[in-house]
Amino acid sequence: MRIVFLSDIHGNFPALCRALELARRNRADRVVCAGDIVGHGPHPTEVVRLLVEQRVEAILGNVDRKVLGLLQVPKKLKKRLGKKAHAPAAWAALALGDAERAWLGGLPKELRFSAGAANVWVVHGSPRSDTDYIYPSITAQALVLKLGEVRPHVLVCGHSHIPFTKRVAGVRVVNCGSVGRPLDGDSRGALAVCDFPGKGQVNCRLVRFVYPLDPLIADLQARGARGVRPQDYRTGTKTKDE
Amino acid sequence: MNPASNVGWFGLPAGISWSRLLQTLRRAGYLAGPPAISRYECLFVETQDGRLAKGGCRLSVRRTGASAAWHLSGPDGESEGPFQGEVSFQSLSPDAAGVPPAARELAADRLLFPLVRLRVFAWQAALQSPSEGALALLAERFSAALPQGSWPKGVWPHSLLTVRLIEGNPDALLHLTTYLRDRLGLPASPVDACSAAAQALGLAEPGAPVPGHLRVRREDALAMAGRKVVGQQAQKMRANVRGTLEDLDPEYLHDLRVATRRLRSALRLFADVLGPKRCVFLREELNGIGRPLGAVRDLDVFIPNLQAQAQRLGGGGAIAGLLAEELGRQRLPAREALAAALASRRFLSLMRRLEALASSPPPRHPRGAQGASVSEAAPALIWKAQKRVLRLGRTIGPDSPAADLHRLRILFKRLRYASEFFREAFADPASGRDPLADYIEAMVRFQDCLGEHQDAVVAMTRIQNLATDMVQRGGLAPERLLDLGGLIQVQREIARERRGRLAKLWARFDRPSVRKRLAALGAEAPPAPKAGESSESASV
Repeated sequence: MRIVFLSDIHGNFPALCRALELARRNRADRVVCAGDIVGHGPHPTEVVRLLVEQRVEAILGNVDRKVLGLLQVPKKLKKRLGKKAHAPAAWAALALGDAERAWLGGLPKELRFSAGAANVWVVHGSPRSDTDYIYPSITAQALVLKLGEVRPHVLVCGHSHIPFTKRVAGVRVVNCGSVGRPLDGDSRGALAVCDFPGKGQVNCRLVRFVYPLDPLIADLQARGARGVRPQDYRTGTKTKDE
Repeated sequence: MNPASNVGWFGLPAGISWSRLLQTLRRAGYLAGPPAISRYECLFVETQDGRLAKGGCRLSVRRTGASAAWHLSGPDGESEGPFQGEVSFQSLSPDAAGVPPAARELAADRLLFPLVRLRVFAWQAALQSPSEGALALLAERFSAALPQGSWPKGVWPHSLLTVRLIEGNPDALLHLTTYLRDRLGLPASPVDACSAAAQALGLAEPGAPVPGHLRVRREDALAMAGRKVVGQQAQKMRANVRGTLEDLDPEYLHDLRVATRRLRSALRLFADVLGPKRCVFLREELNGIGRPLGAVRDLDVFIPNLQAQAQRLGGGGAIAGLLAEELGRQRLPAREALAAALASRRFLSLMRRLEALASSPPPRHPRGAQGASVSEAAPALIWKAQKRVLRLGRTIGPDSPAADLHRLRILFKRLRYASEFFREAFADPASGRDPLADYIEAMVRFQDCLGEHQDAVVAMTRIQNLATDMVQRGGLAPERLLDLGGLIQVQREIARERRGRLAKLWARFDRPSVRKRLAALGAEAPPAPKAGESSESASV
């Protein structure tokens, strides 16, 4: 069985199109998204529609949760657009249609399933919280603390936007990086292709892919999406505020 | 997609079928109505200066089977009107029956001409977006031909997908176009079917803006800017040759003549960076084509002028009518000479040379002014041309001979063209700032007044010569010459009135604020008027 894991699309439609194209070419049986679908990008609506269309299984990320939180008080959305901390989520909340909001609101916070006799646990940040990070430098001790009592064969996460795969404390940890907004200095999108041959085994590889930046940046400027700058897409980094 | 409009266009690759398109959109939550399939021929019409396209409209005569109808697509949707007559017309008044009122309003008093002919196979469907916006989807596969040309071999070599927002949130169109672009990988097309067909046939669209690669930018080296200006004007010449040859509208000839003048001016202005010898040769060749163009254009202006006077003077204007008829007879050989000149090898060779010059690379190791950028060199060039105008203009008085005024007019034209060549480079479309706008406007006013004065002066001489010639040939009774007095008097009055206006117009042009703005471009600051000489009240 082959599963493609992706994460942190952040409203980047051209990158998601390319990622799903890669999943199709790799003959994936399932595609799973580890959260942060909208926010900080110009195409929240298109991204949600495409995930629905392609029947991608998804969980909520911290930004998605924030968007849903802002939608609880729709009257304040426009006011929050003016506040730097809330602007990216508020912009995405305003851009989403009713159907997209409903789909997003119905997503779980985590996913647990079996694939080829392997237990897979999909979270956004870490098992502790969707705002917690798992970096490549994670130690066995730290991972055990984050996992608590549960010991899956595979732990899939995102949130840090830094892709890696590593075996730690007997658990295969896969951070699938970011499809739409990489922050590791590589402007290409990232995803993880995992094969589950059976007997609890798992073979994972990280794939980087290029996607057209010009239309994305044109849309970013035309639509006025908040929380990301054009050069961030080109450099694969986050520009610090002056 | 054009963000300012409610329409988007995409190329439709052969691998993407109509059913696949609808299937993908249905999966994304769009509801598609039943497709309507149609097959028709359409002939797009446009005014000489492209007024309909500039107004966001396309007017065509659509023929399906035996029936034909006017079809207008514009920002407010589509409309149709009954068409009467033959489809293969030469030119048509916008007041013809059935022309949709919106098109009539846009065309104003300009004639409509056939531009390009399309044979179309079309699929159309109504689409409802998930946000309940009403959209229309139109896929066209078509072949294109010139209005009088034959259809090309091969079926439907071109294809285009048009998406149009009918009603609802404009975001619905944004989402759909994004989906088509990224999900289906459809290439966005900047132009509609008519423009795509014109481009495929190598036709220059009337009134089309200067293409991006020919726009002069501030950072361009002067050698590059010169090539771009030559390219722009050569393109304008080519765009007007067909209309001039077929005598569709006098404006074609006028625009062609203006383009040759501007080219001559550009070759003079950029001679140092384009090669002086080459520029002299090209200017002489342009002079060669300018003469027959001028001969016909003068008649095109003079004949209606005389006809108008004949009407105004009533019975006393009969002589004007006779002269106009005689000039009308002279127009035919002048036009034949022009047509021969435009069809000659010499003209074709000139166009090739101009286009070769425009597309030639600038020197790798520029010397002197060749390497200077537009922002550095243009103000000095404009100032140099202005200095010549000021030198002569400040000596002109109410009794100056007409020849001096004519010379001033020529210098003004050179200055105006030089300013216009660089206008775009110094303008900022984002802020709407155009530092040369007022300067050019003041120049145009003065130059127009000079032009009308010159026309009146030439008309007086021409009327006298023509009448004398007609009397000698027996075409006019000598006693009718007495009626000429009235006609000449009208021209004399025009000349006197225009002379009277010049002082005021000169004061608007030669004033410190205008010079200051020019100096702000980076040019050497123009000298202040000498003591006792007030430029605000010049001596013209």
